[in-house]
Amino acid sequence: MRVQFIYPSFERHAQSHPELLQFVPCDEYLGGAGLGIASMAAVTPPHVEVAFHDDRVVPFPLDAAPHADLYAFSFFTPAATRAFELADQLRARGKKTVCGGIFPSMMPDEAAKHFDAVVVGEGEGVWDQVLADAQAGALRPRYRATEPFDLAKLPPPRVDLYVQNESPHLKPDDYPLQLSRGCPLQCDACVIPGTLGKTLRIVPKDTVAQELANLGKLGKRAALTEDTSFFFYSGARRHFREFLKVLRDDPRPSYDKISYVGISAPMILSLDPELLRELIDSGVDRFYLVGGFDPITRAAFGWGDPKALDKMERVIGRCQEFKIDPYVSFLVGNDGDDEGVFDRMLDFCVKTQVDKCEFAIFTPYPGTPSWHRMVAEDRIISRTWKHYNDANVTFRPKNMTPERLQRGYLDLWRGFYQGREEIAGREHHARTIQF
Amino acid sequence: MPRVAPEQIQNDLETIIRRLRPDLRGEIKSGDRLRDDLGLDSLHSMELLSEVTEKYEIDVDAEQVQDVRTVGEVVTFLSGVIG
Repeated sequence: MRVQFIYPSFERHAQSHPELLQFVPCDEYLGGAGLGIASMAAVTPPHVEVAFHDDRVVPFPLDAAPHADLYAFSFFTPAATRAFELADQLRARGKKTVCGGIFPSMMPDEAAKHFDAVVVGEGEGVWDQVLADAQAGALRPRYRATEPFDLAKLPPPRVDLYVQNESPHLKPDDYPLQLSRGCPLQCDACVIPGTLGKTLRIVPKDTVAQELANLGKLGKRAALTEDTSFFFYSGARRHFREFLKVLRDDPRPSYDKISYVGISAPMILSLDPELLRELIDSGVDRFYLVGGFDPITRAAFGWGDPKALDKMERVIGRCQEFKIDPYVSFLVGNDGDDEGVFDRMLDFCVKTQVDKCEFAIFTPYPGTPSWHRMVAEDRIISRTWKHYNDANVTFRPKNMTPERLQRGYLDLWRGFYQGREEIAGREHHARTIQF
Repeated sequence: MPRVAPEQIQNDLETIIRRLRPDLRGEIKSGDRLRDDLGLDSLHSMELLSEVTEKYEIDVDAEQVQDVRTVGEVVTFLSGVIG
């Protein structure tokens, strides 16, 4: 049996708005594929041959598609448009298709219009059954695990498949490292509870250490994007400190081990100095500070709350004090945002001397609480999934027009990077951002 | 984790709270509310709970602490887990 995994392409910011390439003096970084396919490949039995195609590198050759008994897709919302196009074409040619990942888990009925089978939620617990049914020619339309996958049985993801598929156009220097799954919080715009469950589960330390070692062998750094590592739930922060020891003991130079740690910006204020020192000792030199999802950044920039702004200034100050580069991701278009949000963000960047940042438009991702609320309020203005990429307005904002929000987003990119042309002359790491 | 007396838990909590709020004066009482009386915001509360769960090496789920409001309730909760 042969399974062809496909990671469908999607529009990035600079593809939605090519003018960004003119006024952002940074190199555009194209990151690795999400971990979904690498995770499924890791639990695929050895007698099943697997292949991987990254549609972002080379469009999947529909007319010369490699033979496979099953074409398996994993995708998030922005890639749904392309995934549907490919799946429709494959099925028209008599091929069998299955999909999983964030969008299919959140919108299974929508995905089911285009695929023979849809996997909802974590795939590891049902993948054997999917393969067996595909081999027997009896795929079922829907697969859903009855309970969360036991992470003690989780093998490290097959990131090597991604690395083998790299090209000069896509050569990430980092890949995600997963420390946990699930989250007990119900944040407005987050997909994690809906896709990975409401209980925070920890990936065992030995598995994480193995993943880190695998990345090292592949010459790749780890990217940590999980805010949940800093929560107290389920001992996550204790486990995170154990991971930092593993990272610290990794003999590679600091720069080669980890690219950044993602964290909700205000959470920086909840980290004790000892933990910050442990992060530095482990080689962490950049925080990817996420703003706009929490009440503090929403109040700070949305309507200029002085206390919240003060906290955000302390967040940047703390990063600078500990010499961890604060790369800020600003989100505009929250319901509390008035038209002053754009100027407040730029003023803040000047005042706190933020070196590099990115800007995103609030996006009500299908299945999240914000999606359900906006559907109920009849505020969704686009269901073109490729536009759900944080670069396009897909809903009716509360305190401004969609056009004003779209223009403000572009003005932010232009306004921030104006006069910063010197960034283009820096070394690779210091001049590269993802946009 | 060996048993920890409620008085010890109360002392440990007080030490952490005073570090989080160095400007706090006077006695910390069992009935003090974390937010309204001691001025701990959500980030302080996150750090407080992170520190105690790390100190006592216990795993806590969100549902277990969602109704905890006062110092005494934190002590009662922790005593139930490790006392």
